[in-house]
Amino acid sequence: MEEDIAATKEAANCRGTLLSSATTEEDTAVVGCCGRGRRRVLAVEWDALMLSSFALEQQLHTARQELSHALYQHDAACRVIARLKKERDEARALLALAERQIPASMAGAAPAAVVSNGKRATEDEIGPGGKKIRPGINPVMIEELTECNTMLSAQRKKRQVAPTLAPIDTIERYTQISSHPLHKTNKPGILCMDIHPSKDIIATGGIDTNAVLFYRPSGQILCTLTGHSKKITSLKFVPRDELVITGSADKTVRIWQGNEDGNYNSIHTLNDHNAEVEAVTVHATQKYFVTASKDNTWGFYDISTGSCLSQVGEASGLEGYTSASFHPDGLILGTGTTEAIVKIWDVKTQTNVAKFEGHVGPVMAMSFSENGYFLATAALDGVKLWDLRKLRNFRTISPYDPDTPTNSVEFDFSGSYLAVAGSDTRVYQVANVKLEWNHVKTLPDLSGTGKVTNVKFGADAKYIAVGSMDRNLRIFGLPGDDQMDDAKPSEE
Amino acid sequence: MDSAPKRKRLDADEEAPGAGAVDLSSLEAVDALDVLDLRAAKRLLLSFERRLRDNLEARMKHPDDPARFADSEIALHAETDRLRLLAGAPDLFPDLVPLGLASSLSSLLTHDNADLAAAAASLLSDLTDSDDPDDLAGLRSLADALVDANALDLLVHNLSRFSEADPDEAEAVHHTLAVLENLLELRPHLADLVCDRTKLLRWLLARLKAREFDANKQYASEILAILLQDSPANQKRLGQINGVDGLLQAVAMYKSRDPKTTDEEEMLENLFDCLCCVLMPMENKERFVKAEGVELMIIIMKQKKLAYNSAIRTLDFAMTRFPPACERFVDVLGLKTAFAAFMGKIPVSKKNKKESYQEALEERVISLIASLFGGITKGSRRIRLLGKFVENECEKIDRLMEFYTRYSERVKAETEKLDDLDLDDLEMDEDERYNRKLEAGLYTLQLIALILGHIWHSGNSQMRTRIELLLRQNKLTKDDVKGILEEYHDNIGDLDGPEEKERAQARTKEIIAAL
Repeated sequence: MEEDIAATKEAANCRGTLLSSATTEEDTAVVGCCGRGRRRVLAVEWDALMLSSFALEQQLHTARQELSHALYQHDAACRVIARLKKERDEARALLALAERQIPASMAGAAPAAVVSNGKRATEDEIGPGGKKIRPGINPVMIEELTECNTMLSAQRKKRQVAPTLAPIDTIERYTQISSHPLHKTNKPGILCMDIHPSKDIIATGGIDTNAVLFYRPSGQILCTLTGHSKKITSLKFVPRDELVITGSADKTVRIWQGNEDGNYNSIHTLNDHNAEVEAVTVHATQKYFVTASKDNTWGFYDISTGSCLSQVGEASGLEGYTSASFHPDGLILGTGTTEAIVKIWDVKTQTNVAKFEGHVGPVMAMSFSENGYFLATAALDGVKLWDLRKLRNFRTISPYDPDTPTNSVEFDFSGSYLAVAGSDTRVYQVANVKLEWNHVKTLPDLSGTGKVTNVKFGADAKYIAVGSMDRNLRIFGLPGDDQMDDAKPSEE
Repeated sequence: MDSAPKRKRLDADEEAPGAGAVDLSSLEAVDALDVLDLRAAKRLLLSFERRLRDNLEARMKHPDDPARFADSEIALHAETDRLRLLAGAPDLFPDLVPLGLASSLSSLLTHDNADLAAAAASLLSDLTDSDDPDDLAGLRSLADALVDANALDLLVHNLSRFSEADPDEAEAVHHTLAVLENLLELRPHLADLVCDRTKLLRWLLARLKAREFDANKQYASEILAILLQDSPANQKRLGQINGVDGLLQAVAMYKSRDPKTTDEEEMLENLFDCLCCVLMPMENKERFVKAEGVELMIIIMKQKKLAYNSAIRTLDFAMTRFPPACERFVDVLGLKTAFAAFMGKIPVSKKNKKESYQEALEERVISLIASLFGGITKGSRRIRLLGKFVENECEKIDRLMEFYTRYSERVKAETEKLDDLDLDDLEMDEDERYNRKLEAGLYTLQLIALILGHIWHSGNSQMRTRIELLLRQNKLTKDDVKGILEEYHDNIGDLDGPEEKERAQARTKEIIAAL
């Protein structure tokens, strides 16, 4: 402040001298006459200077304030920028982390987790016409299939009928030795059945939406598979991996995994069909299976991942498949349709190589004989036998009247017997193309429903398992053969 | 800040007298609603009592000249309406009661003028009605005072006095029933008292016999249900005045047709509740059988009407520990209908699709069949009962085992849950655990085990083979069934007397021995 005053004084002095020099020129007379006048002028000058310096100080003060405000604002803006930068960097880091995790979860299809194909629909590519693009059967798999086929056909030629096979006169004496109420009393009806090839376990699928695994020697229910929302139309064992595959009218297929204590859990639910799934059949390698549906498509699946490798056929509301079965060598697939046609497919190329016509009504069941060249199909008009070498229907067996459909037809493993189920169960002896196939035995329908839905031969035809439209699984065999014990199914 | 509103109010006060007397009174009324203090309430009550006295005097002086006391009647009516304000302040009742609130209102109930009696009923229903738990003390004091002032008798008397042909009087009946309901809620012990002192039960029974359905009939059914619920004395009384027959008649109207509205459905439910309650005393079960109640229930079941479930419930009550009812049931071919329900052939309507409904029904049928086995111990009826279980490859035994597994899983789950809870340091004694398990399904499981035991005890080889097959199929043994029956045996109560308990225990022991 003192410096300011000194400065202003100096300025005043300079100004004063200037003024005095100015006034000397102009008003020499006024100034020159007396010192008092000069002093008055100086005083006025000084006042003016003081006022102007005061004003300057005010301005300086204001300017300083504005400067400080501006500096503060600048500081605040800098802080905001810094914060935003930090937030942005954090967000970027999170995004990067999330992106890194997604591919990991997609790649890890852990077998324990339940994978549902339907959920991934939006991520699948949709090809022309809205059809999902499937990976298809790659050459490696085709190699596998071909190898399997070659190996099995070679074996087939050398195979002989087992000496332990039940002979005809034994079968003639078969009667019901036990009946087991495996399904619900208020929703009766067994629609499908399968017998484990090496253990004496029978699986039945019913109208009550349950599949029941029954261990015949002890008469105990091992496990009940619950999960489907509608009746189970077809089921098959996959013995190699302790799996069971079920197809249902609720349009889904489920794969169930058995564990050490005998319980089965659903590990995959497959939603590839748009209508009821009518048939499930397992390939000879036990690595693949096929499902056929009323939506007129059949799907070829890989068992380990549960993924559909190929879906064959155009979806149609008018016709569909009602049955399906692999040829024992695995390169041929047979399907039965609602239009009474049997279509034969080449599995490697998924093309339809033959059509068998002549049936009346939808083809409800089919069975390939283990001899490799006989196929039996069942429809409303009875059973037709086809020779695959000549592609012709060489015999028709019509045990029932025209209104009674034949629901099930099954060759036994040795290919020596054929069982037919309609309003009762009939067993025929397999002969050749030219000879008559003798009717060996009729097992009456004991359920009271008049409809036998399923028949299967046990090992060596030592017993015949029959399912009808009531709640019971019935076993027919020689009386005295039903020794029950409490043994658990042995690991083989 | 506060001065502004004060100023406004002063202005209003200043303005009001200028506006006229009407404004002032409405202001007073507003004040009264906001703050009904004791003084104001006392004033109301006193003015009401004054008007009542005036009116009674006028009536006494000019009994044959209505024109003379008409004014006092109207004034009294207006005062009665004003008393409604009291309904907003139940906390004042304890102070008003000594002043005669209850006795004045009770005397109004007996007034010759039906309108006034109706107004009194309506007023009382407002005063005694409240959902607020804070008001309970006040309401209870009013209720007690009303009972002392004989209000119960007067109310019931009014029920007969009002003629329901007139819509106003029908409403008055409704209000009267409302007062009774409120009083019963406030003081449950009144249920016994009112039925002992008055003819309420008789009136209710007569009311229920009317053919047409209306709101009062529904209300009557509700009141009757409340009266019977926890009062064995009332149950016996109703039986004595032919109540069982009356209720059966009321219910019989719905044997071929369903109720049309939700209210009517509710009434039907109430009627069945009454029926079940009234069947608790043994003598009423006898009356039920005599009045062909068993046959009626079977008909209702056969017709597959809405009352299906209730009919089964009633039969269950009738047959519990009463062999004659069981015998009658078998004689009139009830087994066929009962077992159809057992096998799941239950008529399903839109409302009853829920699984819980089905399950409740199934549990009732199981209880029914267990009672049948308990009540019919020998003779041709027993053979017929057992014969049912052989039908169709023992399908009923299969069904029984399905139930067994279902309820056994539930009990297991509950036991595990209780064990987990125990680990969390929650003290639960044995009785509590047992009760929880009973609720979770152990009760039904015990009945199922009992039925299985009876079937086994009969000795029929076909049935025994099937039972063994089923037990093995489900990985169970007879010891499991025995265990459940042992627990049942140890917990048989003595509700019906010690001899009954001994009998039941002896029979259970017999069955366990046979297994």
